Amino acid sequence: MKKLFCLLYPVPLILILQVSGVAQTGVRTKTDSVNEIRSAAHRASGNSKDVLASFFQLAFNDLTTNREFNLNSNLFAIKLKTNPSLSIDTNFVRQTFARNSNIMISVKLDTNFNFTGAKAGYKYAIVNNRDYAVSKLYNARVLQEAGGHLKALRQINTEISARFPDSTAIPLVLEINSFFNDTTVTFGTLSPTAQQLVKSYFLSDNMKFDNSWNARRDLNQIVNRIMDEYHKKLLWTVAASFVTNSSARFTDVNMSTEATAGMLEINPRNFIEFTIKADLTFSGDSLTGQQNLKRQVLTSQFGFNWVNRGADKKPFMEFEAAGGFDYIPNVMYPGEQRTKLMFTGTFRIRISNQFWIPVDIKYDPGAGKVFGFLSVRSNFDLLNRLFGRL
Amino acid sequence: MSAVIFDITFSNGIGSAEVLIVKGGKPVDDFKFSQTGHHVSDLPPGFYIVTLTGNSQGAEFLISEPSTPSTPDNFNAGVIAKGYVLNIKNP
Repeated sequence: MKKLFCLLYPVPLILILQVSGVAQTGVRTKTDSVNEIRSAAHRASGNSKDVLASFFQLAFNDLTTNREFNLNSNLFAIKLKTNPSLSIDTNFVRQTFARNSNIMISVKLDTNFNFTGAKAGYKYAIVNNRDYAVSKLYNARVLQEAGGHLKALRQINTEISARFPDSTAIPLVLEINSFFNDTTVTFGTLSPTAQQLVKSYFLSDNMKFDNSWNARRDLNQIVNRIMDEYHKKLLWTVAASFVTNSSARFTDVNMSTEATAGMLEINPRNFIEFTIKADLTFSGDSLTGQQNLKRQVLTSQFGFNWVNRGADKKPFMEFEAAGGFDYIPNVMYPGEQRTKLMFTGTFRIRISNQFWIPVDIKYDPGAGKVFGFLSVRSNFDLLNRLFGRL
Repeated sequence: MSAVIFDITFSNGIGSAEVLIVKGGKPVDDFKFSQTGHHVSDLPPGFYIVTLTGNSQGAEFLISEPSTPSTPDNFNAGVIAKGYVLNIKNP
């Protein structure tokens, strides 16, 4: 066990829960459902995925010194694996608790990849205003903004039915369907009859009747814009975990809370979100070896995370700057300060849809020291694809 | 008359959809889905155009009679906007 991890590093792909596909006749397959969840999660910032994983997150933290192998699993994603019917709306809306829950498991290794301890915990989002999938307000807003397009389609098909009351309507219906569902079918490629129908029922706007215009692109922009707003809403979690040492003896208890929300959109590709974290750890006295949890360390942090997105609106690069302090109310070690200020910078870059590399830099102004931590984080199904399970 | 079943399954979240059935340019039936479910319309023989519009996080739409395009039809997350031609024949 102790040496096993040297075989796995730097290939952290094997010890992962796989999401397998189960097809049900006449129903969207599990793969379709997983794809939808995955697609929505890609637009969330790397910071927000650290606060609450929407699927599975695998992380190698602090690769250079005290290595930690961490798996965050969303409880709903686990349940969906064994019960695909949970994706159906009437079941889905009853899974709020599971969707807002993360189960965390960590294994700690020393510089020689020897096992030094493990950690298990649970996190719950007490405020998750980003859960647009079950928001009636979100649904209503999309329908309102897309209402003009949808009304136009109903009117167009009604007129087709009047003019072509038999099978001769089929080519025109299919052509109009393509204009509303295929982003490559532009207004300029439509037949004269289809163009006349579209012009009749959309608002008279010269810009709209450009030959490159496509109705599905309009609809996608509406959805993406509203979805982006929801991705910036408040997310607030609370968590508890316990830590054991290499002898599987219980050592620490940790309670924490985190919150993040978008606060400033600089332009369509850049926005800033704030982050607040507070952490209270109860541990034993490592000098005396007593496991009495009397030593307490309170850590708090407040910062801003700048998110840079690509043209596809998926976050590509992030930089978080935060300041905070540690406070030790009792059981201080010799030479330790009761209160310590700390500044942290975290740079995250997305390598692929699921794969992030965060680099943490911490500055202790009291000691004048700078610490660096390199990690690797995969919000996977990258791993499922590599193993061909989906 | 034929009893035609219109069935919709929403997934990965809530959804809603409206179905408008027209024949010869005139509305024959118009109904809404606010969750997974089905609706039965009694339709005499003839050609109909069914227009499905709505929004979802994923959906599957099924008409019990043959249509063009055919069903079941799957929709990704986003706005739903599609028409179907139905030919209801004499039973």
